[in-house]
Amino acid sequence: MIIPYKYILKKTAAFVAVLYGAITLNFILPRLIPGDPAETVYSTIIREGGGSVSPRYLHQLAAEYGISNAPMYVQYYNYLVDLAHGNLGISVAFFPEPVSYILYHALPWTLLLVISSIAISFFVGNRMGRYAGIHRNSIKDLSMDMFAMFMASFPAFVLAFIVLDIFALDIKLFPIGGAYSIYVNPGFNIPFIISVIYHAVLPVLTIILTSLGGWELGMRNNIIPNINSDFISYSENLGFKKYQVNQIAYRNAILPNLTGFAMSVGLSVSGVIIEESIFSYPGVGLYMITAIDDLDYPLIQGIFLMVIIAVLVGNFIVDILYGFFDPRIRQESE
Amino acid sequence: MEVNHINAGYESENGYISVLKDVSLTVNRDIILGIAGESGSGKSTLAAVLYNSFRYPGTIRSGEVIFDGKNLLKMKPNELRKLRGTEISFIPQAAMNALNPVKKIRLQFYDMMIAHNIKENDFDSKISSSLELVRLQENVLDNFPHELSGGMRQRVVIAMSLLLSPKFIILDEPTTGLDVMVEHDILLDIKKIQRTLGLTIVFISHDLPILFGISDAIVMMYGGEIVESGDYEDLLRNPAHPYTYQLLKSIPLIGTKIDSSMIMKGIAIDFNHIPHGCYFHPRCNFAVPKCSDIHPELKQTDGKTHLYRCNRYPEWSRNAKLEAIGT
Repeated sequence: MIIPYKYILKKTAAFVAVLYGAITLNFILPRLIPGDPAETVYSTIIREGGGSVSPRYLHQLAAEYGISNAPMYVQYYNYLVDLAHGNLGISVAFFPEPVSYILYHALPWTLLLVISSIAISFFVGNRMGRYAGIHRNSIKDLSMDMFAMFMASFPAFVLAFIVLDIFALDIKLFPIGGAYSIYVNPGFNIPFIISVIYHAVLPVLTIILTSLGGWELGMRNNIIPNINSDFISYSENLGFKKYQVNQIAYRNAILPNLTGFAMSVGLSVSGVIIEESIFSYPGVGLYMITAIDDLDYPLIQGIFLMVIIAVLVGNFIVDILYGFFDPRIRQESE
Repeated sequence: MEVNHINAGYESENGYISVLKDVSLTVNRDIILGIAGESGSGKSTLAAVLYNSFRYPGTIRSGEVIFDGKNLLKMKPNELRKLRGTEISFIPQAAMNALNPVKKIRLQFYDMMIAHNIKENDFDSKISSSLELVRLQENVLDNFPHELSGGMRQRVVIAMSLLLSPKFIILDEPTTGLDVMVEHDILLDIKKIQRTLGLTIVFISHDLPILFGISDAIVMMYGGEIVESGDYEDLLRNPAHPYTYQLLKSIPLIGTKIDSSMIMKGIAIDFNHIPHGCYFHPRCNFAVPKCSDIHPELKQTDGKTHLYRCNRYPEWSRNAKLEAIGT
């Protein structure tokens, strides 16, 4: 296999540039919002306590939250240095936990949900789309498309409630929420792993069902022009076997869905908020809701930064893979 | 190969549109049979029917295509699949896009041989002998299709079609989109390959000079029917149908300015509104009133193999000659 070094280098440079831009924006945007967490907490105490609190307390809060009045360039420099050390500030809502500590504990759960559900739904959805496309305009195709369109447009939160109601509340087959049972010891042991899988079934099922339709429809619509293309009819005319012809069409049709795959892995880090909050799953989404409720700027900022990085990394990986899968792309950019 | 009484057309919203009407022809072994006609004369439809690759909305109403004693149109799909590429082969109209864009040429050759259960030991020898036929270097094998020029891609397609040494090949306007020099080169190669391997070729084109240059026998199509067929020399020297005559006359020679008198009047037939009588009479320079009433049958001239479908042969031909002398 030829390794397209030039292409990879180019994509890496673009990735670094965009990442730097995103990090900078993440610094600028919160500073454009009036007020800061210290002021928020201070005013809440005054409002709810009803009494008067010394302004010195405000300065104390600001110092604890690491809010500084230094010039912007100094703040920016400190921000970059902190970021390089993985220091994202201190959470307001979970004071005095550092943001990085919260993310470090929440991210694995979200990744577990996202990666397992998207991998399954990508695989199953593409296979369904392939089947529908090959049997296009038949009753099999129509019924599959109906199902896909219905599922794709079904609101995730409604489906999550229905699933929860039926499987957790009515027939009590699966737990109502959480990531693992309180009766197991977290760690690398079999009861814990089984408990984790058992607790993940319902949220994963919900995410799969709502995202399946998009893959199915995308694949179906990509594979039909491929089936009608000149190189497919030529393969048929040379007596290629049915499975070979379908494989060629599928291989060419999956390329656009691959981009979608990366995008959705990136976006889903924040995109499973609904499922996480309904199933009280301790992922990033659940923390994000809390953070927004409590105006926890450092945590929101940290989560956004993580989402941005997830999207960028996802796209970067697909860009590189695309170079291997589609030689035309590689050449165009060389 | 023998083609008997093919009736085929297309399903449309307004019902069935008949294109091929009772087309029968025989393709003798070891020759190049040229099928000529304007765009919309039904020649590509005929090519698809011959190869049984005519797909919906195209429908074949009746007729048979006999190859080696078997009717291709009645064959089971898997039987037909095994025949394709090994006994009969097809070089398509858009040969430029006939290769899978994301696979190296070598792997596409391999796929073809895997499809026909060729032993892996024979892969490379078959590929190199096939590439030699079309005068390509083996280094094209490690390229992707988009890295090759149009002419090279065309040669790769021809090499692939010839890979498993089929004896019968259909070429549907194989040189569309190539420049004249490349086209010329490829056609010479096709002719040479045909002679050395003893292939039977059906060559479909609207380009008369090329067609007459390469073919041993010619079939002229108009409005989905055969209007004239025979030896290429008979058609060239003594066209028996005014369509052939007028088409040949419309070929511009280098050095002459194109003027409107050379161009055939009217436009190609509209399959929704087929004229009464002879299909060609609205555009015929020699039509008389009876031509719009009587639909002529295929008749033989003195020569046994020369068939024509005209009410006024040989009268029109004498008029044409007088006219030519007059000018």
